[in-house]
Formats: sequence, C-alpha cells, structure tokens
Amino acid sequence: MTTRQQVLVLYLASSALDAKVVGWSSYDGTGRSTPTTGDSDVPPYETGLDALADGWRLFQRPSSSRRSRATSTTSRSSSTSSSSRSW
Amino acid sequence: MPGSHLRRTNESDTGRYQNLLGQTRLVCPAGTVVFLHHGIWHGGRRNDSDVDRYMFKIRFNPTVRQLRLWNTDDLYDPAVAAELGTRFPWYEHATGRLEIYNRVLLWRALIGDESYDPDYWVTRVTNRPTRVIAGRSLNPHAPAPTQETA
Repeated sequence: MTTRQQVLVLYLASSALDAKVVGWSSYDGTGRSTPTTGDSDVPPYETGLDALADGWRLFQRPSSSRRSRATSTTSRSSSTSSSSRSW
Repeated sequence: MPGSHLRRTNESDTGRYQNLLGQTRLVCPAGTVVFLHHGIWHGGRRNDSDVDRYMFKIRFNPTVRQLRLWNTDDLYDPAVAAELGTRFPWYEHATGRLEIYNRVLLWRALIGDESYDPDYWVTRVTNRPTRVIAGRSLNPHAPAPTQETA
C-alpha cells in the first residue's frame, strides 16, 4: 500500500514549539480533501505542542526568510506518522 | 487581514498562509462597493461553485498630500489614540508594537503634527539624546568651550 502524506503547517507566535498558533495551512496528499485559503477561523491546535500530543510528527522546521516575515514565527511542518496514520 | 496594511512584506512570504488568526472574509452581494487600504493583506479564494463571479478593482492614488482634508474637529480625541493602539490576534507580543509605531507615523502625516505621540511609541524607538552633561574636563567628547571675545 502506498503511503500518502497529509501536511499541516502551523505558524507559531514565537520560535518555541509550545507557542500559540497564529497561522495555519494544510495540504492533503491523499486527495480526500482540498484545503484552501480562508478555510477556517479557528486554528486546528492551540499550540504546536498540542499537535504533537495529537499524533502529528514533526518533520521540518524551515529557517526564517531573509526578508521581513509576515509573522516572526518559526514554521512547523508535520506529516501523519506512517505507522499511526497510513492511508 | 485586519491590521496588516503597514506590515512590510511581500506576496511570496504571505502566500504560504491559508489562514491567520483574526482573518475576515469578504462575502457580499453583487453590487457591493468596498474601500480598502492598498497595503492590506488579501487574497482571492478558490471558487468551488460552477458560477463565475467578477470583481472590478479600482486603485486610487493621491495626487496631493492628504493633509487635514476632512472634518478635523476631533483630531485629538482620546478615541483616536485608542484606535491607533489597536492590536490584532496575529500580532507578535513585541514586534506587533511596530504596527502602532507605523500607524502613529501615518497619522502624523495626515494631521501635520510631528509631535503627536500617544504612549510615546515613536519617541521610544527614535529618541537619540543630544544634550551633553559632563564638562570637557570629564568628557573628552564634549564640545570645546566657545571663545569669549571682548
């Protein structure tokens, strides 16, 4: 079975993983949903740590842009763990 | 995105955000006219319906300085300072204050009062003291005393 990823990106109020979520984007590699701009006004998790506790696996923390950022956050990307959430 | 119009950024940086805390959605009946600051972060949402919708965008650019070109009776009303100090849910704790700073600069340009500074945000950022207290004997950088002429 081919494993496909769902990606959830949380933009936090600071570079700490337990900081408040102020922005979020999601991408669904399974094709079951097609998330887009302005989907919801309530963040899926209150903090990055809450997402970890719910089973999301942290796989990347990209460095900040060299330019001024929309929010001075460290972005955090998580994919579903292939062991716990394979499709 | 309310409160975003003075944040200097670009679309390649903001394009990654699908949702931000405090966002508003502009849903309106046909024929609606909306006025927005040109710098406010915005984006067209994907149209999942089978119906095309059109929007006409008109950009206004001032040809003269917009200095007190409105009813100015309440320029120094405390409500103005309160409005300039508004914070939004997506602001960073400290960096968000730069929005207040930039708003005060915009307000100064609109009212022509370079001293207006509620809560002293501009002063806190830009203040560079010039007065020297220590005399020359204690401070080699102090200006030399002027020569008295008879």
